[in-house]
Parts: sequence; structure tokens; C-alpha cells
Amino acid sequence: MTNFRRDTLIICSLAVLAVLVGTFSGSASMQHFLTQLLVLGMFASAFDFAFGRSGLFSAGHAAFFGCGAYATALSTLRYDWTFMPSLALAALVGGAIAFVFAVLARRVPGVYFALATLAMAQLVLVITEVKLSPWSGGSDGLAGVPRPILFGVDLGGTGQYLLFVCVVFVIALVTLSLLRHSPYGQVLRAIRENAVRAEQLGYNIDLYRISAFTVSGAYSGVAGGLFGGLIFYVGPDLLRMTLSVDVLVMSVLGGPNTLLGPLLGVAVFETSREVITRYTDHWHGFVGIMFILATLFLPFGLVGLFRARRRPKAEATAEARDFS
Amino acid sequence: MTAAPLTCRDVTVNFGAFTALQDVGLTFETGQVTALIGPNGAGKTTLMNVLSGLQRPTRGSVHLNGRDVTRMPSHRRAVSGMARSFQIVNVFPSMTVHENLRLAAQRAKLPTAPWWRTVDSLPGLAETVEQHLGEFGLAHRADEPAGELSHGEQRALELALSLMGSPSVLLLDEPLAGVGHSDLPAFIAMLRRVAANRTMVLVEHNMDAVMGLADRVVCLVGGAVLASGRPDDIRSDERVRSAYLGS
Repeated sequence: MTNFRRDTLIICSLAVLAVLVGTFSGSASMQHFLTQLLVLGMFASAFDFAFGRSGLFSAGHAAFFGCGAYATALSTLRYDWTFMPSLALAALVGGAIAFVFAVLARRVPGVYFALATLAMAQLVLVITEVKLSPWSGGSDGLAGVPRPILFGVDLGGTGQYLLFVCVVFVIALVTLSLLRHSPYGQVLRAIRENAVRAEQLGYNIDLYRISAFTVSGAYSGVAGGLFGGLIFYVGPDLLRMTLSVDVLVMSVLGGPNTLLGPLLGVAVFETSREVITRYTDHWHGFVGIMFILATLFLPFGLVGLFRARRRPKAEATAEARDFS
Repeated sequence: MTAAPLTCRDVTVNFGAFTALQDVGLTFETGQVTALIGPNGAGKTTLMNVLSGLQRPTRGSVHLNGRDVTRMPSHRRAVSGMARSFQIVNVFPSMTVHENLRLAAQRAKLPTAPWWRTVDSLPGLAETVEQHLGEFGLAHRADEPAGELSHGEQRALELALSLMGSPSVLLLDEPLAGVGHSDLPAFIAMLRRVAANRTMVLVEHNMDAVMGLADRVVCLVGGAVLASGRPDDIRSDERVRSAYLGS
């Protein structure tokens, strides 16, 4: 079985599992939680396509997620679009903003790329929250974001919306996996490892970096659009830096540049958030501790715990170098 | 008469007040192996960078197969038949040997990197990779991460990567550095085989290897060409002896 077929099978199994658990639990809050996991899983996978796969350390991914959410909310609420075209718009907007970020920041390496994307994301936040407040709802955001009605079927119920998100999740993750296993994805991986060598092989590294970042932004935008539908609301919190950091922690915690890593990271992150916030408000303190522990003890994230046993140690160290 | 595959004219490179290269003009012919020698800081690697497009000259021009490529970016020169290897070993360390070669093969065979199908499904790639694995004696290490190979094996892999696109011009920066003493004769023989029908420029400190490989030796000192000629003539040149080879 090829890697791509294996990935597809895993993605479909996860979606089916989510539907089964959601249906048999019969609980709306469980269905809501599962939908949230799938949406954020999509977001973390999109982030990891830039971060883990292509080596583009972004600290501004909330901008793409948030703008996707705003695109869906504004087009449905202000311009009476239906849900599906507005979700396509979310992809376009997320991709377009990521494209601009990447073009402007493409020459700066590593941490400076992160700082540049962070600065631009903060700019997007200020413009949306302050400058465009009559249109975007300002600090109050926009309430009443609708959910889709497809072929006359209302997908507004929590269970139905979970089903809908599952379908989008499968399409998004399978296409992302195809990108990773394609010749294009191989080049991205090579550029992350050794950009100078990749260029000497004849690859235009700027073009690949910009396109990978744009793709990542588009998928993040879709996740944002779905998230707005899930909570019936969009607000400036979806554009904030904390979200950019959260998605980084999810990816590092789960295991960068893997299929399951970001998904596992989201599951652990969100579950512990649910549990810990019952006892204390200082949830982000725990995020910090998780991040520190993950970087110290889990160079390949939680996924690495399972994989390290099966693989020769030598290979693991070769990859450790890669992320150091 | 056809133009030489690679020429540079009046190439000058300034880094601030420091002049790394001063009016260097050289012609490299097909089938000819040129060795660049000279003391540290003579500008050998800078000249390699200018030829391969990693460094734009302050003045002067570079021509590849009769075409002015002075402003052409590195990756496009690579597609136009120029390949480059580096002083430090330069492979993709966490990718397997097979994946390293597949990456080069895919560039050589396809105009773009498709994203809509898996790399395993592309016809012909695996065969090309197999062929190169055999040719460079790497078949038994195909599934190892490149970072785990011995230094000499990484050198061989690097050469294989550079040759995948059938380049007409090959620039090698210290190809023998780090190759074990016992592997040296085999590696030199491999370089000689590779040099046939190509234009090869190499920077090398191993003078025995240079004498055995090169058809022409160019000695750079302080960014300028001090002497250029057949290996034996250069070896006995008084100026070269005092500047570089030692008494």
C-alpha cells in the first residue's frame, strides 16, 4: 500500500469515527466538541503544511483563519451569499492574504520570517478590528453566522453540521496529503532541508515557498469559515496572536511534518483545555508548559513516541538535526 | 567556430572595500578539465559562485553556451545545463539516498513538479534512480538517510545529484575533500569518466589529484589570475611555486 493510500484510509477512518461517536453519544455538546476538533485539525494540518513540510515558520496564521471566518460571515450576513460560495471565498481570501505575506517575507530566514508574519498579522487585526469596524463589527464581531443548506437539506443542527464538516475535512486532508506525497511536496521538503542545494538542482525556491504558503493560507481560510459557522459568530479573537501560537503548539506537540501529528496535537490540546479550564482560568500557563515539555522531550511530538520504537535510531537523529 | 560552453570576461567582485576578484577572464572548453588552485582567500570559491550564479559580479559578464547569463538566477542556469557541487557536503540529509536522487530525476525529467499525483505514480523515475544508484555504487544504501552515509559516499551521492540533469558544464568545489585515502583512486577515476564530453571546472587542494585530472591549471592569487597553463608548466612555474606550492 502506498503512503498516500494509507493516509487516505486513516483520514476516512477518523471522519467515520467522529460521526459514529457523535451520533451514538447523542449529546450536542459532544458533537460540538468533535466538530471543533475537526475544524482545528484542518487548521493545524494547513499550518503544518507550511511549518513542518516547507520549513516556513509562521507566527501569523491566525490572519488567514480569521480572515476566512470574516469572509464567510460578511458575505453571508451583509451580501446574502449562500454558505458554499462563501466557503470558497474564505479559501480565496485566506490564500490571497497568505500570498501577500509570503511575497513580502520570502527573503528573510527562519525566526525573522516568523516575526515578519507576526507583524503583518497584527496589522490585519488592527485594520479589521479598528479601521473597518463599521463593516466588520469592530470589537463586537458579527453574530448570527449561518450554517449551510445543501440541496434543500438544512445542515443547521449540531449533528448535521458535524456530518458536513466531516466531508469537508476528508476532502481537505486527502488533498493536502496528496500534495505532500506529490513531486511538488518532495520539492518543498527538499527546500526545507537544504535550500541552496535545491536551487542548484534547478528549483525556483521562492516560487515553491510562496505557493506552499498560499496553499496553507487557503486551507486555513476554509477552516476559519467552518469555525464561524460552528459558533455562529466571528470576532477579532479569531485574528489574534494567541491563536497563531496555539496552532504552533498543536503542531509541535503532535509532531510536525506528519499526517497524524497536527491532528493528535489538536485532540490533546483541546481536550486538556476542556478539562483544565474547569479548574483554573490560567489555561495559557499550561500551554506554555506543554510547549516547553514538547520541545525538550518530544523532538517529533507525540507521534514520535510511537514511531521511534519501530525506526532505527540513526534515522531519528538525522531528522532531529533537521528540526533543531 | 562555436562559442566555448563557458566563458567569463573582466569579472570583478567587490565586497565593500575588499576586492575578491579583479578582472578575471577565462574560457572553458568542452572536454577540458580546468583546476583552480591558489592560497586561501585567492577568490576560488567566489569565482565558482559567480560562474554558478550565487554571486553577481560587480563588473564583467558570464556566458553559458554563447548566451549572456550574468543576470540569470542560479536555478535557471541549472536547467540550462550547469551543475554545481559544494565545498561542504551538500545533500538532503534526512531524505533517503533514493529520495535524494528521485528529487533530481524529477527535475531533469519534468518541466514542473506536479501536485495532483503521487510521486510514486510517475513513470520512469524509479528506473532512472536505479540506474544512477548502480553507476555510483550506492545501490546497497538506497533506503538509508543520506546523512548516515560515509563522507565518501555522500560525495558520490552529491556528484550523482549534480549529474542527473546531464549538465554540459560541471563546477565542483573541492570534490575530493573528506574522501578517504583508500577511496581516492576510485573517486578520481569516476571524476575522469564524468569529465568526458563535458566542461569541468574544479577547485582542489590535492595537487596529485589536480595533476592527474586537469588538462589546464589556473592559479589565482589575490583575486587575479597569476598563471594559467598545462599542469606540468604550472608546477614548475616560479611565481606559482612561491605563491602557493611552497618551495
